[in-house]
Amino acid sequence: MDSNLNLINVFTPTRYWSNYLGIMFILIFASSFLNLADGASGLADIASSAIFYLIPGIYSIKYATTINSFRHAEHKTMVLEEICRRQGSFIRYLGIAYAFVFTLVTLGILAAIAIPAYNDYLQRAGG
Amino acid sequence: MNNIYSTPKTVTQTIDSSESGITDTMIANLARGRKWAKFLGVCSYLYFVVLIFGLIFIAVGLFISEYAVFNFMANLLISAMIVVSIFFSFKIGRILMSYSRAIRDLQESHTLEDLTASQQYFRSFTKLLGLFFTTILAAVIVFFILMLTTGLGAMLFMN
Repeated sequence: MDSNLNLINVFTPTRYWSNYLGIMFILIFASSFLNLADGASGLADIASSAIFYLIPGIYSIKYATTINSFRHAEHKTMVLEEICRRQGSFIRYLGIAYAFVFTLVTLGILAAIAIPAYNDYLQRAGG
Repeated sequence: MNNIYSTPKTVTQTIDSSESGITDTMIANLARGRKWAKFLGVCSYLYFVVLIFGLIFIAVGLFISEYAVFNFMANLLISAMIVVSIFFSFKIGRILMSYSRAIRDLQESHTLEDLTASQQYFRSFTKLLGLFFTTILAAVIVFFILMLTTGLGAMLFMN
């Protein structure tokens, strides 16, 4: 039992900043609603904000909530395992989201180079 | 009366892998994010390099007037934001790499010291990212106020 208390003391300091980070993520998501007046591009902005800010914000707040639930939990070890799972999932989600962005940006750069070159080639072949 | 021939009920219990109480499941759960943390660290370093190039381009625009894209004041504000972003991206990249290394050490040693180290890095990561977002939000609000009071928004698109 003492070992569980030692372990939760390791995780507890991460709780406050995770909560804060979660709130900041959600605030940034909320600020994306200012673009709603832009029509379709505004909606796309809100959708991308949901992926990059709202979902990580929820992950972060859930992580902090799980640490809070330790005190009243019956199976302390299971709660500690859940805390670790939520932390791993949070980092993994951020990684997957940014890998997706990285892929999109790379494809965008390649398309920006390749499409004009291809059009130029077609014009020269036709002319 | 109990049926002595029935299948014995299995008791599922997490077995501690060491005296510290750290179970294999805990380590496996934390390790789910280890490689992604490293990836995010590398992305953060890449972002750092891109921002430095951005800052160089803006500095060139500031001092060579014929290449200036934006107004001087707007340029200064954007440069200040880029400098802040450079600081945060470098620090966050370094912390994420250290976090990844600490989790790897934890996988090997199963000790409370390595777990503590990894959580200190995680705390620093959440703290820095939280402060970074606070700075960004504050800058957006300041920018918005400046746009309303000094017509900075119009200046951005005039040149």
